[in-house]
Amino acid sequence: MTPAIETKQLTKKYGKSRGIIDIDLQIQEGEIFGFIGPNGAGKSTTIRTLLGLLKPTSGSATLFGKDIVNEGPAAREDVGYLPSEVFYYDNMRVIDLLKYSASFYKKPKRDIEIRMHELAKLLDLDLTRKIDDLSYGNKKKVGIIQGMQHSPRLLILDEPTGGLDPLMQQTFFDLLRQENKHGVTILFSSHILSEVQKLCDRVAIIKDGRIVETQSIKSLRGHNYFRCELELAAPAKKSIFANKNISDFSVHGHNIHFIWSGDVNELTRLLAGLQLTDISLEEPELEEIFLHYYKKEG
Amino acid sequence: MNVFRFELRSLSRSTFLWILVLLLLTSIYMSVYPAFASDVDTLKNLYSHLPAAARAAMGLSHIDTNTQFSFLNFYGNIFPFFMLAGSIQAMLLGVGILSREVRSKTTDFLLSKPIRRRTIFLSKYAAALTSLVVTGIAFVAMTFIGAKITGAGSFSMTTYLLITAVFSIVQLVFLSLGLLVSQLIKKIKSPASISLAVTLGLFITGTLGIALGEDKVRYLSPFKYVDFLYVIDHKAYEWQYLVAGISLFITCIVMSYLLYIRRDRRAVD
Repeated sequence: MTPAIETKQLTKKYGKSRGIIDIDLQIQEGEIFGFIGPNGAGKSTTIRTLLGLLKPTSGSATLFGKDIVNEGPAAREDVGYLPSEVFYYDNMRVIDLLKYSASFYKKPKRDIEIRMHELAKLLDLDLTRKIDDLSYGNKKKVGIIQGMQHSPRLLILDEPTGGLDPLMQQTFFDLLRQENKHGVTILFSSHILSEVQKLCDRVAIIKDGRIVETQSIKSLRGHNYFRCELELAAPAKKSIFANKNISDFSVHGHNIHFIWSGDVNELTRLLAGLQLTDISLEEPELEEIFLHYYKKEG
Repeated sequence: MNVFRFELRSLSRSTFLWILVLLLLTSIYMSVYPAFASDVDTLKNLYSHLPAAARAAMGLSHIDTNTQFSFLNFYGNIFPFFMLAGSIQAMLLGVGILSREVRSKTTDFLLSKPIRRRTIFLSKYAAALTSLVVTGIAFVAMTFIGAKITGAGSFSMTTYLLITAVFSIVQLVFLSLGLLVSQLIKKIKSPASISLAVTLGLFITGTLGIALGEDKVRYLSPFKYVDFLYVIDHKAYEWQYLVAGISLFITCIVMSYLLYIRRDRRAVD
């Protein structure tokens, strides 16, 4: 079967800033593929190259077997794209913008319009409003409909969840899962690991413009990552924290800091044995997780 | 076709407003003609009553009162103001039409669609051209009707059309100049100020150059490609300046096309 996305040593170099180097990806039809890396790692550059917004310096890429450079329009025919920030032409109503967007695709206009109204209903968006008057979250909804109304076989989502409230995020994820059930391939880029964990089958990790690892999400699942800050009632023995799941450990008097990566229950058991005056658990930045990840691997 | 239609619809308002501006300008300037013409009659009368020797003494013996004070002569004299307005319209159009996505940050929206950049460029160009053609037709109608209303009498149709066509020629040159400017300057905050600076700059350059007797300046300023007195005398353009205009036009179009289809679209910021 032709992969939905295939890149071969795809490289994009720009002047001074870092681009991407030798990106090799193969995403099969029907996969939800996570693309994860810290900000500036090259996720957007890869996506923008796939969409023909950037011309690759070397290497090649295909969408459903169609070359992104030589057959750009054909390659993009079956793609829906949702950027992290959505912008539209001034002074237009939502419905006019969506109709303009629909006019670029070969699919029957009627089918697209039916889907447009379905999606608008699901996302609770009034199509007759002016785009300029919409809140950020509602503009994002316009973006979602715009990317999905022509029922593309491939959805490319570049950090799509920013600006969506948790409830809407849930609706959006459900929508993506539903699309995926109908065979839609999804490339989902994010710098938030938990998002990718929730949704994706496989994930590629990108760092400094290179893919450092492609793995099934199962190996990441069952792993919870926390940045733990503890304040102890009394100094504790360091040996309590000698655990394979703990990294980046530091002590300042009564304060203890570490990154936990592993089963959350094991963490609660460990904490249960301590006399705490305060605790804070946060999802660490991706960089911190990676730091931990590479130390362990390496 | 969809991009063409979309752009044309977006341009309809400004096209209409520019036609109104031109209507105002032609009305004002052409309404002066009756006064001018009546003065001419007085002058002509005066000349005819002067003895030939007196005319020669005043250095007026070679003046042909019929052409020097004709409607077309008057038309040629006021024409630069129409050209200036037309050039501003065309330049604004050129600067704006390709950079529209940059200003509204919709580059991602448009270029991620299944459409070639070449098609986008041509559609937008065609829409701009259509807007100018409509303006041009309206302009011919306005000046022609204006001439009839103000009692211009009979005049050479060829000469009149040759002069009037300069309006569209200058617009075409400025449209392509505008396109190129929009592709050379990455972020255009205000298309209006750039357009005004370029058009007024070239207008003043041309006028000053001619006033200082520097003929080479005519290659530089599209406003001076055509000398109306020459057109009135010869019913033709001076080809060397026309070639300069066409070369500038083609160079700008080709360069802006190449820049547009090749440019990398980095992240919106």
